[in-house]
Amino acid sequence: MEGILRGEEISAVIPFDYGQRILFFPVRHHSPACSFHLKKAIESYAPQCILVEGPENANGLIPVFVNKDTKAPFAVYYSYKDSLGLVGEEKEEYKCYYPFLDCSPELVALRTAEALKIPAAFIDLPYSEILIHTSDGHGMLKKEEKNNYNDDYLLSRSRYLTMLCEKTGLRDFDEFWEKYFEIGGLYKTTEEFVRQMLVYCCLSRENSPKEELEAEGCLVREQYMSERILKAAQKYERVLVVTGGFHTQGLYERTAAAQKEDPLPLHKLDEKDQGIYPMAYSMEAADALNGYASGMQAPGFYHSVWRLCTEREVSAGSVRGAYEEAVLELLVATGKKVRRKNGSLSSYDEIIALSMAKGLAALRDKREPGLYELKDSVLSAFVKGECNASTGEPLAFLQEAVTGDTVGQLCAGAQVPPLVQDFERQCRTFGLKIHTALEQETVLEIFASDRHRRMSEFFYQMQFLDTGFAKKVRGPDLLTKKDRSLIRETWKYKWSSQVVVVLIDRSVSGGVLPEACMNLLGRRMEEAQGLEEAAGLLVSCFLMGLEDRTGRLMDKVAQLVTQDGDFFSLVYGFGHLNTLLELEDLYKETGHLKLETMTRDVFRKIVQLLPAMAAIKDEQQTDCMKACTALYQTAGRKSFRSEQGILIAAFEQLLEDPQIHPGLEGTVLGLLYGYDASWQKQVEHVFSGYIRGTREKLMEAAKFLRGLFYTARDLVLVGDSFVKMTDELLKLLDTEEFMAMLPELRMAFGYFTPMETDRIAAKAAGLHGSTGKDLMKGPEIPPALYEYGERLDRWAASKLKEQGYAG
Amino acid sequence: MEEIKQIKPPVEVRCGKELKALAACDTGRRPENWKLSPKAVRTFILGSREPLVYEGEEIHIEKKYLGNDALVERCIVTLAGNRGLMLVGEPGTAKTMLSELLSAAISGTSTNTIQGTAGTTEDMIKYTWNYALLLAKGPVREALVPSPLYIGMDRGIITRFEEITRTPAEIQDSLISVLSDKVLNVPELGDEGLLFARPGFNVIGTANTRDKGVNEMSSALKRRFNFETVMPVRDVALEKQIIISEVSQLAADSHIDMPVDEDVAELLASTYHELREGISSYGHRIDTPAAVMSTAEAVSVYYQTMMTAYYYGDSAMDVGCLVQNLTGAVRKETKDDLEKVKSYFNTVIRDKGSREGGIWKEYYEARKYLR
Repeated sequence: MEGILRGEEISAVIPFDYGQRILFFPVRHHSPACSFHLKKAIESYAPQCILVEGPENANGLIPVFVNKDTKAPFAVYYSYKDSLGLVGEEKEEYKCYYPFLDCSPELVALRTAEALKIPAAFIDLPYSEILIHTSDGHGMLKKEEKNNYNDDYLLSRSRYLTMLCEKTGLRDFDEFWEKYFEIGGLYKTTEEFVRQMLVYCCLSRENSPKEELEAEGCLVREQYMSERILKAAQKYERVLVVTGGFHTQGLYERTAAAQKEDPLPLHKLDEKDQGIYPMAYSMEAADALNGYASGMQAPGFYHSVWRLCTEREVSAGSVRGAYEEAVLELLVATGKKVRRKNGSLSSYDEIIALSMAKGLAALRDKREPGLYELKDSVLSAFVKGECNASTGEPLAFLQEAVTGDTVGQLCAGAQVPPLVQDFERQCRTFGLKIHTALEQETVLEIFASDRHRRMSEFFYQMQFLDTGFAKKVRGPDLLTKKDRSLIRETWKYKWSSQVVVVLIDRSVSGGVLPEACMNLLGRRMEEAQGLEEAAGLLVSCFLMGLEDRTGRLMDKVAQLVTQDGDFFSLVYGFGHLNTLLELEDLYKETGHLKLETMTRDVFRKIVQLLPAMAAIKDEQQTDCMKACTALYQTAGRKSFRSEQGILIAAFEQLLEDPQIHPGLEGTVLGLLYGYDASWQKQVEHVFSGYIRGTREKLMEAAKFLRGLFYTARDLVLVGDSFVKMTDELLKLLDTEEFMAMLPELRMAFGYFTPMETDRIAAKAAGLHGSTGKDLMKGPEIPPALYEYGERLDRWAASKLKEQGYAG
Repeated sequence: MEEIKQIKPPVEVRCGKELKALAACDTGRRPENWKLSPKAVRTFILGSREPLVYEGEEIHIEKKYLGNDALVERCIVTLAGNRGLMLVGEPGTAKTMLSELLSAAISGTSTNTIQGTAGTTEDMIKYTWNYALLLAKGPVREALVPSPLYIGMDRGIITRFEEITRTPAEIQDSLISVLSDKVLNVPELGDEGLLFARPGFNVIGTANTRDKGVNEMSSALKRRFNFETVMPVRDVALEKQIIISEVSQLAADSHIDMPVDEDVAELLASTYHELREGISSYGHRIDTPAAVMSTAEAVSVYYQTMMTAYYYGDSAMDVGCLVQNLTGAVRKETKDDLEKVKSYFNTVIRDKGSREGGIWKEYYEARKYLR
């Protein structure tokens, strides 16, 4: 390997000579060794200008990147909306990130230029142009990965590399890279290091087909970058060019030939379609393990290495030993975490682990232990017993440590979109922790504290914008009407770069969160197909505390009330409106929505449609039962009393339909009985009709009972007649029919409380000459039967598992 | 050359030439009492591309352990250090082979072994007495019968402790003081009763996760070992390669002059792999049998079939016979396993037979022997 990389002849291909007008410095993104030698090269070359690979239209952001208050990791976020269909017919939206860590050579180049007071600039095509020049499915248009501007993958995919790894007995490209470039690189002079880089990059390039480079837009980008380099070289005597190593050869050949090419024409694109923003980033997001095929893994580890290199250089004048120290630091950090968790790891384990890491490095001919030796040593010395999910905790802790949890920060005055600023301002106001990548939890007393109610609104706004920032884990849910009795909300929230990205995307909708939410609400409301969806949006609006801005929205809701002819959509919508009406007082948000008139309109419309709903399907029974009950409850409210008459008329009209579903019939009869107890006779009459009817009708009696008990279960408790009739019904059934009816019966009797069930059982027992207590005694069940039952259970469970219903 | 008469000669005999060549060419630093440097031990186990020249002869160092190279490296570094090495894993994952290779390369012998069983006693681990001599001469060194552990300490070589978790936990614990203080006390010998371990001594334990697992091992003892979990081979091509190389070795040792049929090896490798992983190469979900579906078992099924073909057949592998041997191998634990293999044949092998034909079709037709 050393032979191949010695690079004696590479100087003839691409010279690395400080006397040149243009000096090319090849790098790999996030590489501490590249950064280290780049700094050395800058010292020796003393450039007058530094050009860095990166989309040119981000040049305006350089002052932000080099500001001392800006803390890495941060990223440039590029977005492009293909309105003109230049990338593809689908006219999609594209976005990508360009992350920077302290150890990124590009950032080191920019910061050093700032320190030396020399100009620095990005020289690549704008993001939109790169996309336009990339063939579908290649380069940045690959669908399967998170899009990253950096193209280090070009260095790690060639056939040449596969052979190198095989020959050197290393696991993969990353281990190869670490051994020869990162660790080995620190033991080389800058000239040797660059020569080795150039040999490797040239061989990688030679083994990549030209067609592929064309399809990925590499060649067009190199043409553009060469133009920029030549232009700078006319102005400055020493130009340093810092680009991904893969491009160095292409750039060198183009600039050395200084061939006169027509300048690459750029498309005229609308500024609105192109977004470039700086954003705080996290180590976690920068880790290659989190989806970036081309990033470096373990940014936390390499950040430590870079920090130690910088410290050692100052204190000892040499960076040697930085890797070993970084390994030790992380071993100790992991050991500490393991001890805190289960206390079974000693310092001696850490000593053994370090000696393992050093031993492995020696065995593998590495100058110092690196990431792979660190992982191996933790596996060997910290994991006790068979390595599996329960014993593998140290490995998980190590993974966290090598990934790192640092979150970056942008300086004041960075061109952060106002929406992101508003988000940060709100977080500060509410004291929310956003400078950590760890998940936080907070409990809000939404009814007792005004501040908590405002926080809840903020969380709902972030949720509505799909930022992924907050999720409610407990608390009342007004949309599904679950847990409405709860008085606290528990939220979990976590900052991530994704949150910022979504906020940047949403920036077009508004400068502050309420405005962005309202605009999005407006759009969704425009697209809403029925009252259910529209009223659901109103509930969201209410939860976000935006009900005082609903003027336009209410027009649309009113329009849908008139247009929507779907009974169930109206019913669900009515449910939402009702919820809002009921809760306005409780949430101290009275009167903003002016819901009463609208709810009354919906009520009337549903009542109007109700008689036509007689012949519903079985699966609609529950919804219909709920709808009728909701109407009944609403009509019971003081302000709706005047509507009772039309509701009763609609119920009566419904009952006249001979095709009425038995469940609905029971429900409606129960509700009418609620208005007027004299309906009892009619109820009994209908029920006995089912019993005495044809066999088919008899089998529907349970559905009738289910509907009836849902709305008027006291009927059974006030007298004996119902129990007697039910008894009569059961007597008429043979076993098979009884078994067929049993599920419906269970549901029907499920509405009773246990005490009520006891009373009914006692009455039923009385009819057969025994008491309720007698029912509690049963014949002894032989153990064999239990055993059989258990076997049956197991068999059924295994069959269910086979069919994929496990758990 | 002297003919080897043993059924299975130890590694140091089988690979004697390789070890000698490695020792002669070894320029690396050796831990005290090691026969080879750590790098040479690595080369012995993981092989080398370039042959070594020893006494005018080119010696090829074959790769003997196919699997995780990093694991082998960790084992070597562990053995050069202060802690013992514990290899844990499913049966048939070549733990014993690895421990033999390590011992042979480091100490020149792989036979200094304690075989752990439920009946292992502390005497067997430490030392016992030749009672005739004890009665005649009293407790003197001459009357002491040293155990492999005693020998390891005395000579500065590796002691292998096979199936350590089959031994009762309290007996296992007698290793604690030896591993931490590197001293064994023989009180009967009075002042001369302290045996200090010489450099080079270490212990390689193997433990089977199926049998009893390492859960019952005391944490005090666990602390004195570095653990390495040996996983089953995850790659079918590698598994096929292992079957071929192991069977070739066995056949050569038994003078069976019959080439290894690569198609049959692939058939077996794929069957064992799919039954172990629970998913076929076509994506069928499969019930995994409770029986051990290790590569070592696959080798044994192949070898059995090979012997039948060689001695009772026409020296050609018979797929029917293979299926019969497979039946024997999986029917060890419960009868359900056979049903699982049957349904594997009726789905996966049926589909492979109809798509790929040839030997797969034959294999499917041989399902009648699954009973």
